[in-house]
Amino acid sequence: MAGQTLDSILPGEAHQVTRVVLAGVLGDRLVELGFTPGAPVQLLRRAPFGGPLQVQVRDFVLSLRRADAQAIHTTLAAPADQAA
Amino acid sequence: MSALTQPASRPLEVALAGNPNTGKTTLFNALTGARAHVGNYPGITVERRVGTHTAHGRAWRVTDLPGCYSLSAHSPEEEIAHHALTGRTEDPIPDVVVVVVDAANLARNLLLLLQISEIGRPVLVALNMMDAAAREGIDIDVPALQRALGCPVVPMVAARGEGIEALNEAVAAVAAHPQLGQIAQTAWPAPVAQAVARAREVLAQFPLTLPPESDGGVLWWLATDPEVADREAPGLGAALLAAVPRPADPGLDPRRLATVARFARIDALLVPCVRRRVVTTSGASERVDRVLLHPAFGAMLFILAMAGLFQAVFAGAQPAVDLVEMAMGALSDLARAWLPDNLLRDVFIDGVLAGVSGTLVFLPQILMLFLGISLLEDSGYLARTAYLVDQLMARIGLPGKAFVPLLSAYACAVPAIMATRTMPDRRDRLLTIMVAPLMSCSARLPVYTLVTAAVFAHQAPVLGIFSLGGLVVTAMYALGFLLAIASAFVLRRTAIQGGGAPLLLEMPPYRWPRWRNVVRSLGDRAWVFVTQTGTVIVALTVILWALMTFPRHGLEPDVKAARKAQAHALVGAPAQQAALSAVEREDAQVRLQNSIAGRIGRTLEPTIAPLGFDWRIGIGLVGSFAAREVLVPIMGQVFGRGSQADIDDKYAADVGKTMASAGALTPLKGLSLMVFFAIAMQCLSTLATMRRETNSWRWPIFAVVYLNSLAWLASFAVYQIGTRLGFA
Repeated sequence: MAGQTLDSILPGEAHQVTRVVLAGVLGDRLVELGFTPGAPVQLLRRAPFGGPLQVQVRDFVLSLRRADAQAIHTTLAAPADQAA
Repeated sequence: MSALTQPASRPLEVALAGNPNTGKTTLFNALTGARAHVGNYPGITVERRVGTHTAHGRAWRVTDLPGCYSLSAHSPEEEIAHHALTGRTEDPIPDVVVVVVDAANLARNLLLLLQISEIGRPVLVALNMMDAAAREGIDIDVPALQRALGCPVVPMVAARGEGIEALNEAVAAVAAHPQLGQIAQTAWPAPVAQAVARAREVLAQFPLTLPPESDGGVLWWLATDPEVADREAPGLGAALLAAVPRPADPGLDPRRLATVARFARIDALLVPCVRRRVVTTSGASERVDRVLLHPAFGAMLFILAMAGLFQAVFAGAQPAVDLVEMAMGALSDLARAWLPDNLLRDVFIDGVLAGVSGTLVFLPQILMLFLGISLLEDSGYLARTAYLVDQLMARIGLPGKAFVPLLSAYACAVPAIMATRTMPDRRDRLLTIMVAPLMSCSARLPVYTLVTAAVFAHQAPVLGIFSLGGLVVTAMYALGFLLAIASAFVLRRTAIQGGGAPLLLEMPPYRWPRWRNVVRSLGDRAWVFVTQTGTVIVALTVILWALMTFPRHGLEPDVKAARKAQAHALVGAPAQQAALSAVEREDAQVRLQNSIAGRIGRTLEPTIAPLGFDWRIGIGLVGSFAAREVLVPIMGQVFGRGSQADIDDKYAADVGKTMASAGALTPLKGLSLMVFFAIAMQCLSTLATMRRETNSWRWPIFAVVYLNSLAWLASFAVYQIGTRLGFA
């Protein structure tokens, strides 16, 4: 499955984080919030007019800006993972 | 330090740590009841909450650490949490750290647990909100989790007081045997272990107040922002960065690899402990979000909620404000009647009591706004408002979380500045505080009324329908708003660089607010405002009173006596009374003109003449630092109309007309005065609040300089251009 970024995936589709390409403190922070390789992630919705995204990572819902979400690479979760 | 070496009478030091939104504050309130003290850590604006609790005959001192997701310090909250755990604050090193964990959100919460354990503190887990986890279909095998972690795990529903007794026992057990609260070290991958070894060598070269012993302690300094390390020992941040550089691929950075290793350990240990009964992608909160964050309904509900909040602060608080003013007025009357007529009485009534009254009048609006904010915050909606307006606010250079404070600033800057506490980034918060006074607050309205009633009321309506006065007032609101955007733009590039924090905002599940928490937080807010901001307001009010009182040079005694004799000679009591009060008014007028403030007004005249203001208005500019609306009674006194405590529209209009007939106010001068008041920073209560919220005098002084310069320039432009164009 080709890699995608979190800002571009379909809302509601179950994905897994592959890597966070953002350097520095913001990248560190994303990893500390649970965006580690293999973590389940899902785009819930996008705010209108180019606003932020509502995202679920693990059991945690947060909002982040589209530009920041672009640094989070994902891949579609295997069906087995979705059922787990 | 073992509990055995300490005398048994010493209270047990217990720290509560945890992620935000885990019910940590609810647990703190449940443990400490009303016996808590709210303050600030010195030098910063992070709140410090300490309370007491007794269990099994042993007194505890409970410290509520600031909520944070990680211990690595990228924010003041995280820095304080670490420093409190390592004895770098005024509090002793905690004997036991209770890590409050949201049972429905284990993995992310356990990261903090591991980090705290790594720096060597005995820990135990308060597994809170078990009820919510059960509702979400999450089953947790608590004994298995306890075995997997190796520290006590106490299931709790803190909001209902469930689990407190078990927590008491677990804390006592860990206090008696600290090894019960020790978690095995995470096995670090090779790059992390090498980085720790290198960082340990660097740390040994610096004089740390408390050198870290464990690998985790070393790792903390490595993963922390260089500025935080430099505050501990200058040069430490750069030295650590040189010893362990950040690689080109951020995924290979040992700092991140350590976090990834912790999560891998957590994920593995949770597998046998957590079972999900239902596998749904959408919990209850997600179903609510489908409506509340809907592109159309969501926006409408948001506007309704914000309009309701604004109305509550702007109008809903008014009856209570009136009541405070009435009560304080009655108290001053009583004091005036009972105390001997001397200077001490005057300083008490016109300085101290006026300052107390000037503090208390803000309470209704503060309570109303914080009632709204704490309901929004506890319910989970506040984070959604930031999500909804983030894009809109980004266009004016501020984050979504600035919306509620700036909206409230249209009622009053004091509660608005206090409301910026909900903003996580220090620089964003500072920027919002600096531009909040530009939102046209309700204290400016009497000034606008004074001018418009005097010089614009009788002008022909614009386009036949719009009253000129109404249009001018609307323009003042627009002027403040546009200048706020411009100032934010400029300040972001000059005095307050950086900030623009990423929007990484947890959207917690929707919950019913807990009344106990709401009431408690209102009480804390009010107490801190009255005791800390209030004292500054009283002090500044006394200084202002002295400026407007000394030297007490009224009418010459013989002149005054002669006038009074003339008055007494008049026929009929009403005529005598009117003449006598005219003498008193004139006496007050002369006294004010001769006071230090009067002299400042005269000294100011050359600088304010280009704005169209004479020295009498100069006195008003000085005096209105007490509160902008005080311009009206001061002008009343200066222009011989007498001052009046109740500033209604009729009185404002009356004073304005007197000023107009004395030539001090023309349409152009009036416009210039309104522009000045729309921009200038003249409110000492706002300044006292800024001082308290930024913890320094630097920012309030900066606000006075920048806003008053801006006001001067704008009024100068209005008056000079207006005069050139032939207006008067």
